[in-house]
Amino acid sequence: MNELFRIDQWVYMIWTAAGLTLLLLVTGAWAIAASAGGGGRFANLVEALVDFARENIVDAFLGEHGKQWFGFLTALFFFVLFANLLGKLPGPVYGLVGNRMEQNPHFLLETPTGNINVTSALAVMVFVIAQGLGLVKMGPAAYFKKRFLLPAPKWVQIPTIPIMFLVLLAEPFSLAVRLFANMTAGHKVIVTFMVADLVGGVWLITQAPVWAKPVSILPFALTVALMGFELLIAFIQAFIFALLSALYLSESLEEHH
Amino acid sequence: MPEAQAVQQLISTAALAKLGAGIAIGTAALGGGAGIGIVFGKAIESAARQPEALPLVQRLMFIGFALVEAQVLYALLIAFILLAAK
Repeated sequence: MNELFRIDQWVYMIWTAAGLTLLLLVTGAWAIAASAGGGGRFANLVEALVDFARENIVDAFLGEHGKQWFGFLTALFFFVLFANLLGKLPGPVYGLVGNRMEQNPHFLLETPTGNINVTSALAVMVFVIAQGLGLVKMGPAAYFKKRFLLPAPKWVQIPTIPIMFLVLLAEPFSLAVRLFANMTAGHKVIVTFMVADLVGGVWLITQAPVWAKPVSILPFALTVALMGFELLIAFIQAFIFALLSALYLSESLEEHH
Repeated sequence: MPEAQAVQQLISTAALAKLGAGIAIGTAALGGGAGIGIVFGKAIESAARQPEALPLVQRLMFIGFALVEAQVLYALLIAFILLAAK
């Protein structure tokens, strides 16, 4: 039991991401209210981000229910964004090597969303909310008809029920794996270009030949470029996660088939 | 029932798994590269035809890029799982 519920680095990172979200949004709201729609750079920044979230995520999919779900979806977007961005900061990484906590020389903090458990938890939460809402609002019969039955003759509908069930299951699975794989792949590529055996900058610097030290600037320059790309990917993936959550929610909330 | 004979393996399971990982990500990158090229090409084309539509096209372009990239990363996930095989 101790192994499962150990509070290790990922839990601290999730708390940090959630705390940053809370801090940014609450301070931003206070700043916007205090300046009465006027100025202030911080108020404008938070307002721009929240407007971006509102326009592209909430208004695009949820028409009249937008007011109810705006808070949840914006908080989800900001949480995933901060969790993605926390993995791009430099820092010591304490990870498990064998059974002992040891310092992994990765030079980057661990991304909280680079853990399949974290992204699965988020995806399952969105899935349960969307499907539970659909079941409660439409009733089990209408929900089953909408999700599992194709608009086709009966002899096509019955065999495709398992297929529709798989389609339903693919929604949270793809949500979780997309975010996890994006974050982990970027992290691993950067780590590869830092410490790996043949192409890593840190490894190249420790080599004997005289040309090894100047050549080692190449992996470092590539790491800088990759970091920029990873920042873009962090934003895009947070946006996509929130957008698809809004899409799945809107499928359960719409009244007519 | 015939006796089970000792199977002599020329290539170990771990080596085959690593080979499979390479094939997985290599093949996935083909489709992913084509898909991303199509998405961005269409976006550039439509933005050149009608520059006023650029904000809308740009938003849809990012959505399309992320969804195509996700497919490649599903295969990368399988490659990671295969790399960890013994």
